[in-house]
Amino acid sequence: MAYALSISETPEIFPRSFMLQQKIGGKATSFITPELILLAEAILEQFMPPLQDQVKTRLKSISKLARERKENIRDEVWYHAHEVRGVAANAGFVNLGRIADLICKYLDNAPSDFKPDANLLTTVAVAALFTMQNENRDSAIGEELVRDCEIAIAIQLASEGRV
Amino acid sequence: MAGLGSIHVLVVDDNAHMRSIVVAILRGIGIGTVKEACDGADAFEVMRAGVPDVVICDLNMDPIDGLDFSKMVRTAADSPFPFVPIIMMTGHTERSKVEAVRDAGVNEFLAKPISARTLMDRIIAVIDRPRPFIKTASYVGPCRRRTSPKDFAGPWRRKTDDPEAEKAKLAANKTEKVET
Repeated sequence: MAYALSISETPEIFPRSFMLQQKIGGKATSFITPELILLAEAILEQFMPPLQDQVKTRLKSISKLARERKENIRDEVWYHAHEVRGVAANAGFVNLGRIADLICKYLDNAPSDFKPDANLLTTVAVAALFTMQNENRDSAIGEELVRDCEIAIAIQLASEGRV
Repeated sequence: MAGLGSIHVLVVDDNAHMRSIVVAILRGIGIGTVKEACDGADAFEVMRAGVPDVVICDLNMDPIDGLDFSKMVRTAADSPFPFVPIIMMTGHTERSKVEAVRDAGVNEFLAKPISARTLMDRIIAVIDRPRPFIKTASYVGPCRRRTSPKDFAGPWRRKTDDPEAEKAKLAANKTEKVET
């Protein structure tokens, strides 16, 4: 059954619905207890090592692709960077996630046969690796590197006429 | 069956690792049905098979991102359930992104890194603190006003509201209260 809403000029306001409270039989706070949150935290903690491994592997792949300077690497680099930006923060690498997002932004809307600037890619890949290694020791360095990568990518996009 | 076991949650993320984390947490706390989808189009199909009570969705997805997916859920003619609460996960916390997410009709915003507590808080928010649902020509989704300003004097909140009619409604409500 579809509940399609027709779009009209007259605003319609539907009152607050407590349907979910009725469904669970009370307030969510009475079911989601501090003990349950601790259990959820423990589950989350179990995922940390595999997440960190995943980030490291993908970052190494980006670095390798940048170093080898092969043809048609756009899609592969974008995919690795996209995966890194998705999990980096939860793996404990917040700034690395931001750098991975910048790599995606550089490659967004570019065709599959687009040749990324090799110097830029290598520099950003090195910055990403450095940020990951120093994330827990000095986040200020990471933040500065994110800003530098942001500037470098903005300049490159402008020089390629892709702003 | 009451309790969290009666809830059906759909997790939409193209990153399999993040998806499994969220799914594991939800199953771990006893959510009854947890389904997964790897992008917006897949999620739409899953929703057609069974309407979820809550959707937890990632912002950066390919080819249909979280914003487009939310807009589709809220406004598409064949949407399985436009009113479904949507919780958006993202690593982007810039004001422009948060506003874009809000304007796409998303109920709650969940910044990465996600923690069990923040995830639970957002689930609690959609269950215990639902907001009125608004449908206008330019926006469909939960009311974007979460608070009432202190200097707000009248009951009307929209340009199209008729102040006189609202005053009359307020007066009638007051009379009703006095009578009861």
